[in-house]
Amino acid sequence: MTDAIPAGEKVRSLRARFELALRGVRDPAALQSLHDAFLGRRSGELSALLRSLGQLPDDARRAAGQELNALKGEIARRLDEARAALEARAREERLLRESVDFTLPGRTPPCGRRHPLTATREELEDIFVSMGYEVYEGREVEDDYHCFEALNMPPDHPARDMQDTFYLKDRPGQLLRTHTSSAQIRYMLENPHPPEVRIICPGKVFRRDDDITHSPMFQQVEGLVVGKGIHFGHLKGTIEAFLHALFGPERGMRFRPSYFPYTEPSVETDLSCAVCGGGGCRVCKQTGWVEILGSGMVNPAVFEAVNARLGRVVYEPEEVTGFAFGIGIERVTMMRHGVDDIRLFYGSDLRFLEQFR
Amino acid sequence: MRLPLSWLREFVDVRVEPARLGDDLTLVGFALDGLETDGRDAVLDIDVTTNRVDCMNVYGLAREVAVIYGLPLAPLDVSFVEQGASASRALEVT
Repeated sequence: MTDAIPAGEKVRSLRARFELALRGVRDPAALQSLHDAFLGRRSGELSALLRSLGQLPDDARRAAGQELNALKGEIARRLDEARAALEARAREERLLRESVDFTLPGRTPPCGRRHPLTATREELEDIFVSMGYEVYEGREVEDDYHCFEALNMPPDHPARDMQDTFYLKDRPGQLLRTHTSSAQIRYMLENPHPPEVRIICPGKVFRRDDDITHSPMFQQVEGLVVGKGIHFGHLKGTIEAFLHALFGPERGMRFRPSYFPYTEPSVETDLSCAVCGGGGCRVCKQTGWVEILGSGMVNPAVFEAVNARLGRVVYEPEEVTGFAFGIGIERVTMMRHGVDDIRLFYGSDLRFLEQFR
Repeated sequence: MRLPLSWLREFVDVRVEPARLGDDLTLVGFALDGLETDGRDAVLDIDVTTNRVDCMNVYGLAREVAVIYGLPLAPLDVSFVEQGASASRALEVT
């Protein structure tokens, strides 16, 4: 190679090839390959040419050497410039890629919240605890005595038609309680300071019923007050007080006669329909009122049943009286928030649950 | 219990509007659960509690309505003409 072609021609062609190759360089690796191809100690073209200087005659050698060295410097300088340019561009791209717009709003960490039914239940507990009541829970798996018999509902009595009970398959005599009223009996039997009672009993109850306004499991809050001189005025006043606390002091309500086996007289309380304001609509079934709770004065038969179980007279019907009430937690929550399907509470759908605080 | 107004009127001549009747019944203990009307007749869905078995029929509710409004109650004709074989002969069990 070095013999056939004159030196000047070689230099020119080498320079041209270098320029062409430099244009195709896009990354540091390619740049390094280019460096090795021309200036590399062993395989670089220029280095090979420099080594071959020894074969030239003396007078030509100096001139050729000077030219080659000048070219080597030029190539080295061009490579340095290219490297700097590549690094600058890489830095620009990285800055662009990694930049953060700190004017954007932050990402809030997810936050848990109470289930709406829990919120309602706790609010009810607060209202009654502030009135001096104790919270007593009773139990979800009950027996016939506490759930029915002691509450003046003997077996085969039509009053039991009002409830569709779940019985337990392998536990004869055991059932899932259909109302929190069973807790009244349990408490009176274990009352630490008879005959005085001031309790509420929140908890789950179970009935064979499943549609848009009924769930097989739902929650109630029971209340029971017993003592000397407790009368119907106390019942009305207590109910008005806590319904106004829950629904606002201006909410319309009415009391009307009803029937429960364990209260006499029995009362049901309606709230004015939130949806139509009393004009009549699908929610209140055209009546303008929505039933919200049942209550009444404790039927003496209940005291007698408890006394019989205790084996002595602890609640003397001639001396003490009482009132009791029961309210549905789902019903209250649905009315406050405009929920129309009870099954939403038990569906675990976050899109529903996240709407509550 | 679903009570058609037309049937009720066979026993008591009540003239008030169905909605008013429903309200008055509610306030004495027979809660109105629903009301359907087609312009001419109306059906009141009354919740009769289990302590008032006497009102789980049209005549029983007619009696209540008569008392509420002070209206006369038509007597119930339960007479019938005896016919055919004696009832004790209707069935033999061996």
